[in-house]
Amino acid sequence: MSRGLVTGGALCALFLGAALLSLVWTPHDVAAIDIAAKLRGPSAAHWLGTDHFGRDLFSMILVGARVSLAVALVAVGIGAGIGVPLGLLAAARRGGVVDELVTRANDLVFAFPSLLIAILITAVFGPSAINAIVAIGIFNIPVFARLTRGAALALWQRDFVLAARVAGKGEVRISVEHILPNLADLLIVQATIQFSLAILAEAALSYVGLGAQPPTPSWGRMLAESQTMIAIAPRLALVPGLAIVLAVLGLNLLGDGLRDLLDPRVRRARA
Amino acid sequence: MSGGLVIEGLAVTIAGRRVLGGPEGVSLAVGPGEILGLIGESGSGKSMTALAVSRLLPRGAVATGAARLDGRELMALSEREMCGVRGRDIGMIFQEPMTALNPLMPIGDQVAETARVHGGAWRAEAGRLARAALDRVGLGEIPASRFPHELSGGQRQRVGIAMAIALRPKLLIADEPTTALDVTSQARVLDLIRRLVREDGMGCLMITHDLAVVAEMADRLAIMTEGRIVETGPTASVLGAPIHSYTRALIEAATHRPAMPERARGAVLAEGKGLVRDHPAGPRRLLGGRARFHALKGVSFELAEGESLGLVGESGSGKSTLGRAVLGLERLRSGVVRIDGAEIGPHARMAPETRRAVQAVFQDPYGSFDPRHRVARLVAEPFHLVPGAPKGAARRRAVEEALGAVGLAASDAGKYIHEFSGGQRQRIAIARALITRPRLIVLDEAVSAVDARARARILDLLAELAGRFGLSYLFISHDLTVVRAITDRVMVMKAGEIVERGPTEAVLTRPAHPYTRALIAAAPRLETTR
Repeated sequence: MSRGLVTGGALCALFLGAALLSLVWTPHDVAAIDIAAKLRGPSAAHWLGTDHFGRDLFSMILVGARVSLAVALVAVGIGAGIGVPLGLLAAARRGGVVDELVTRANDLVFAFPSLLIAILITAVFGPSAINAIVAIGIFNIPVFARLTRGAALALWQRDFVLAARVAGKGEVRISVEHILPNLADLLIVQATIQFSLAILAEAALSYVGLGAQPPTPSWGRMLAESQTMIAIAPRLALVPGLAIVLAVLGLNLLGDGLRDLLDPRVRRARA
Repeated sequence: MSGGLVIEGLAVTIAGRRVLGGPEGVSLAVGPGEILGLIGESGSGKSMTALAVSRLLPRGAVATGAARLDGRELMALSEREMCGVRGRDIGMIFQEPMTALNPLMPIGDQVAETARVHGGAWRAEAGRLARAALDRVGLGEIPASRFPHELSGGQRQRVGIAMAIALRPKLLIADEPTTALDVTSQARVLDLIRRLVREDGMGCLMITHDLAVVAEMADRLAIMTEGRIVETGPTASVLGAPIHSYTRALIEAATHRPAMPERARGAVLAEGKGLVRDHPAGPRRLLGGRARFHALKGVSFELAEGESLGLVGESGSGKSTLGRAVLGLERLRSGVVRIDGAEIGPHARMAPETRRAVQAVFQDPYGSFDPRHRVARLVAEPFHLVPGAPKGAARRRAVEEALGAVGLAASDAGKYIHEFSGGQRQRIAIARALITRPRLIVLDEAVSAVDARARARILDLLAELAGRFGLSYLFISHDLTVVRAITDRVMVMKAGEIVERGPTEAVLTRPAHPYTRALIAAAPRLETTR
């Protein structure tokens, strides 16, 4: 196993652990405002100190991890859940009307800057975590659809698919039984990369105030709020910023490591 | 010290261990102007020997022993010095003319590159050298500004040869140079290599798995198996009076004739009438639609129950398309295919009964199985067609029975496909075809990618199964020797049309059509030298 994979896995485990921990325990209530204790440095009571409302920074990071994780998970789920079947269908009907429609629709979505449209969607339907999830999810669909279609097209040319057709199997069965399992490696790797992009997108949306709404903490909004105080309390920007960097880095390392681990050519060379 | 290439005790190891397909103490010599045929099956170590000589082994592999070219020890040279040797003193020709050329570079530039790297030749000078090399390999009429995709496979291989001989190297290494080519291009490329070797007086190490290819051109043969050379000598004596048992087995396999059972021909089992299949070709025009390439131009045929029908032709002749049409996998523009009177096709509603009557074995033993399923599931896949197919223990028994019929063990059912050799995989493919008890099996180049000995055994198996299960075959192949061995009747296909048909023996001994005659003349033969 590569060093990157181990590092990535450890960072992701840390991220996941923080999110799970926040469900059952946080040192302080994240919504509890204590103006008297504002902008305190790290101490035994407040491990990472407090913000300008006197809220506990460590608790906010834990809950923020949960929000990021939930948004990214659902958004990538939407993207893969709709994109992969669309891609499989397009590849099964390659050259046909369905294929043309899926490909053109993909191009259409790709043509717009994703964050701009996400801002548009949340602006129209109101800022909330749910709308952010949907907006990010929609932009994950073409990524998965295009990847699936491209890889599936190559698989459709293989003789084992021909053999399955001789066995009388239809497009759907071949797609599910032969094409999809052979794409699994590719999709898992892509999912981890999309996952990190979704975390970044959520942070960006929250930064401009269109993600999770107060008092729910979010890494992106913590960054935005700390901005005005960067001179007197740089810690407030540093902590959520580092959390985002480490989570994204971990996911990217994990994705790269998984790709190497799952690539059959590499696997065979090692065996 | 004598000239030419001398290899002594060459071995390749990775991290101190012996490798599968690596040479283990190979010694051989190729004199100037001599063609040495290095013969071996896949995994025998013949390609690795060539890579070791040119010091192109994969990273981590270590070669020991000696390899001298005109007295100069190649193994002692630094990578930098070796770069000066490759291309100038050693030219190499590879198997795959599709991938050995850079698709984005005009062929003239690719040939000139060798000259510019080594001679330090100026652009114009290198261009003249390239033109001369292209002329020598018979591409005199092709402009040097052409790109690889504008050439045929045979022409591309000539460009590869031009690159190898541009600087008149002392040694030419040709690794399966004609395996990917049609028989007629193969014959021309072999002639060309022979002529160039004579003209330039270079040594030629000709690596191949096919005895027939080198029988007519090599001066000496070296037979290699499991990393060692078991027999070496002048071609005529190795082929005429082989000493080693492995050599004898190879020669027997190459000329093997399975005992096809004598069977009475029944009623018509499969027939095609006026089959037309075309693809769009070339750019879409504003008016008048696209130009179309006709893969089948109104082909008709009949195949009787209990008959083995051969279909021969070169790549692009439409023979595979016809095979797929019989399997109901092609969207025909017109014409119908009937199996036992029932019409089939991708749009026709096919009764499972009809569908299961025709099964197939494809060429590529590596690509025709889903790598993620176990053999039991792979073999049982066509049960999909059988209503009320056996389940559980009965299904297991059926799979074991099918594996047994092709000479594999019942325990193989639990393995994955990568655990088997090419020949074993083709047996599994046959088992998969057998499991629905079909009446017709379409074999599309089913033994082309398999080594000679495995091929002989598969042909025996096909002959045996034909008698046992009353099977009919549609046997598609470019290899006339194989077709002759296993078919009763043969059809010769060219450019989407059947140009000649008749009983196999009659067509192959007294061909009527000029194309059939050309095919037969080009096919390499082993018998002529015996």
